[in-house]
Amino acid sequence: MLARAVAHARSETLRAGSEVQSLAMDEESFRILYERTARSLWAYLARVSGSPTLADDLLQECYCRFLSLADPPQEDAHRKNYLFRIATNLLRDHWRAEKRHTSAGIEIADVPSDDDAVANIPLRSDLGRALAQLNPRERQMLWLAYAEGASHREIAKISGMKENSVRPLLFRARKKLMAILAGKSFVTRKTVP
Amino acid sequence: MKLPSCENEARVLQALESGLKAEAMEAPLRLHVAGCPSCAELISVYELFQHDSAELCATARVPEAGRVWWRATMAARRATAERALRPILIAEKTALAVSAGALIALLIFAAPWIAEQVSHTSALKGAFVLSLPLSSLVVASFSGFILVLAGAIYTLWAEK
Repeated sequence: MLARAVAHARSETLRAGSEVQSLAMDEESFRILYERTARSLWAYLARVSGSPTLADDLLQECYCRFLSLADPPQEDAHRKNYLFRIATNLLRDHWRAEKRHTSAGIEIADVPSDDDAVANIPLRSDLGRALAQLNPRERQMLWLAYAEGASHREIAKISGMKENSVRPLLFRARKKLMAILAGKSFVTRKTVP
Repeated sequence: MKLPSCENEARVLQALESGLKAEAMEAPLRLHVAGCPSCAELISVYELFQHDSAELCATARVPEAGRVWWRATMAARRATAERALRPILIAEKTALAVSAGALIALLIFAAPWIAEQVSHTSALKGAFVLSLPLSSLVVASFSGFILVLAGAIYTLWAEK
């Protein structure tokens, strides 16, 4: 009797839940935003993660999270920045999970290493390979600054850094990239003699 | 450590973002860029990234907006349903906890009586006749066991 009542309540609640759609915008507005931002967001995810497959997965998740926002930004520029912020957080979560799996001794078969992944992205320039030698934060900053034209303030907001830190870090990342592109051996770790 | 970056980089970047090529910049800025390695490097990096970005965007195969919209709608429905089901789940768990608590309290409350019955039973060594209170204890224990078993089965069913 009680079980039947609970089951009934469950089915009623599920039915009520399926009727509720609390998305941040209507479908047409979303389509316009998507057409305007999806490719550049995918490029960011692919270049920073080094994996097009991961970029495919995270791209959809970015928009799902954006649409589930209770109070989404109204201006287009803010919306785009917010999407990049979500993407950055998703990448960070992914790397953390990957680190946990690696430290737990679990092999991750579907996540390619940087070098393999970069080889999967068709590129005429060597930029992809050079970026793969930088750390994720440097890749993020460089891409946001020079591919997306984001200001230091926007980069700080997207990547969760202090605005004052962006300029020197970006400058160093650029120098490092140029050194790699120029074919110099860029030593990032101290080697034990 | 002070980094040897150029103060004009922001202006150069602004000009580049507005679509100007290095050759089309204002004369003073153009002259500066010609003699500043840092700004020249900035232009090279900017053009490299713009080229790479354009190439990636052109080759990117992103899913259709409708598909992403459908997935977001499904996720929103699932989230809404989970939110709505939460009170029921809490009520179920509370009921289970209260039942377990009541059972434990009953056992604690009846502990002296149980001890008395056990000592009474041991006094009747060799006798195979159970006293009436002890038989009622057996019945009560059996009923309790059945109740706990039913609760466990119900919980498993509810989880499914």
